[in-house]
Amino acid sequence: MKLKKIPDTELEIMQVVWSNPTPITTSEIKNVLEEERSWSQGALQSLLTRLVERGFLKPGMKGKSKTFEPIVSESDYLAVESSSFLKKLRRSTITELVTALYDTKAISDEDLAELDAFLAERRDNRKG
Amino acid sequence: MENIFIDIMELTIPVSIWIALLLMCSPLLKRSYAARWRYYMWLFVAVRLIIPIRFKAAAPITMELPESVGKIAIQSNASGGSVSVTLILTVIWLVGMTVYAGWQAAGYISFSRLVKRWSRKVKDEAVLNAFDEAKREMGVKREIEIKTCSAVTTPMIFGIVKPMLLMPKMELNKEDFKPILCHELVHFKRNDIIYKLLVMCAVMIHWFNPLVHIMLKAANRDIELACDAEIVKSMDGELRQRYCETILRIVHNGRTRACALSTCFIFSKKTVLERFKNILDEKIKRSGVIMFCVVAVSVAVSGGAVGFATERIAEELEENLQIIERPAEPQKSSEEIPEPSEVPESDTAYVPESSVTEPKTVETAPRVKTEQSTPEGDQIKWVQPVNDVSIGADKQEIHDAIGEPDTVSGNGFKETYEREDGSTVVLQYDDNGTLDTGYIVVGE
Repeated sequence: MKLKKIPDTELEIMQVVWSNPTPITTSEIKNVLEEERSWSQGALQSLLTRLVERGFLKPGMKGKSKTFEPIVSESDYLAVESSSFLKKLRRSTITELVTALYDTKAISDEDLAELDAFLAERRDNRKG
Repeated sequence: MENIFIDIMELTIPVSIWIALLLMCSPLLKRSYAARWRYYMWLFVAVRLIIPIRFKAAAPITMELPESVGKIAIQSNASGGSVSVTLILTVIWLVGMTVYAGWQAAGYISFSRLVKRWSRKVKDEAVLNAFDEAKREMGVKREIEIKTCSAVTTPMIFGIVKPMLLMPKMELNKEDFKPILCHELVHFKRNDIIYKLLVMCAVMIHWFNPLVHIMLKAANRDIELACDAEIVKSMDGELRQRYCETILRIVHNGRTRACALSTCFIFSKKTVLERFKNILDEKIKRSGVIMFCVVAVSVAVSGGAVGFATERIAEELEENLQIIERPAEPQKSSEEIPEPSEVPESDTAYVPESSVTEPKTVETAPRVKTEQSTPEGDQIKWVQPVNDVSIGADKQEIHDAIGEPDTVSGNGFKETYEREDGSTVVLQYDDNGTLDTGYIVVGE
């Protein structure tokens, strides 16, 4: 199924599902959500149903309560929200208008290994 | 607009030479000087690159006149060519600027929407504690919110109006966490987003100049190096090592997540390695204050010289115009004035060609003459002025006679007076502050 962009409220629910151990029950989701604002049980129920219909969540049962498991991973969904055009568009803002911890050009596995080696060597020298 | 364009073109070249020199010297200077002086240097260069626009915009009246004068001169020279090359280039420059600004703005809005949608409050007590501690240590008093955001791969400060600190999803212990937060808070304290915005403005205006783009990259790198230097100032070797390791861990974390992420950005090995060396270098470096001053003055002066050169060119254009627009047989009516310093009582206007074509007559017998002419194209007419001025009269005398000028430009060499009938009197002085040339412009 082709994934579509979901509304903010549904994303809020998905973020709870992604960042907590699953399967997760409705009331557990509600508890986490209510740390930020209050939710009505009915609204949450219908949003969860819609997420199941959209193919984001897999429903299940644990005892008497309904549980949910993510079908789509967070990074897969993020990729949907960021087409290559949008990535390009945002790129200069990210490199030039935020003060990020590190700079932003492609780095290869070899480069990373080299950086690891550099720091490891410095550490060895320190000990030795 | 064309004049601004000419100013920009003339500013971009000498400042580029400075950028090139700074870039070439920086590997040599890096060893003994702190990154900080380069950080301020780029800011200074960027501001220098932006400023003439403001300066010109603040004096729109003086700007208008040379524009019309310049246009006519160019058209006359091209003998009938209707659109000047300068105009075409100006349009290209403006379009480029608009495209650059539009792209940047769209990127910013798109990213800010993404961040708004994906960021959540931080609930982790350990993170919040580390954040408070870092704020105290760095002496940050302004409000700043910390949020987690799955859509970013590195900790960052985002937002021009209301900056917030965004943390990617990752596990870090408190000791490792704090220097990272401190790093971002130093950016916040230094208003580095505004800094970056200024450099970006310089790039927008000078978008056609590749050296300015290189400067942007160098400035972005030096912002990080200067920031790291601040953080590790009080750290010993072991802590510095750990700080590097934490950065590398975030890099690894970012890499495994990055490709699916909207902010699919990772970084070059070279820059990271440079960061590490900078952090691990415990040698105390010279601040480079003197260096900064020397270079700053040089850059300012080179820009100033250009500013002056521009004025000269405008003057030359005007002189050309006087020659070009002068009717073949100008009708003159002149009266002798015994004392050039005296303000004559008769209605007089001054004849520009006396100083342009026959400068010697100015020395021997400065005169104020009356002239009316009907130049070709009907764009500028010389008419009789109401007030009396004489060539060779000094500035103060003229001010006493006809009042203070409406605008002064060219370091005081040029003055204009707006008159009630819509015409403009333009007076030019020589180095000694005495009247050299003067004429009246009626309409376009």
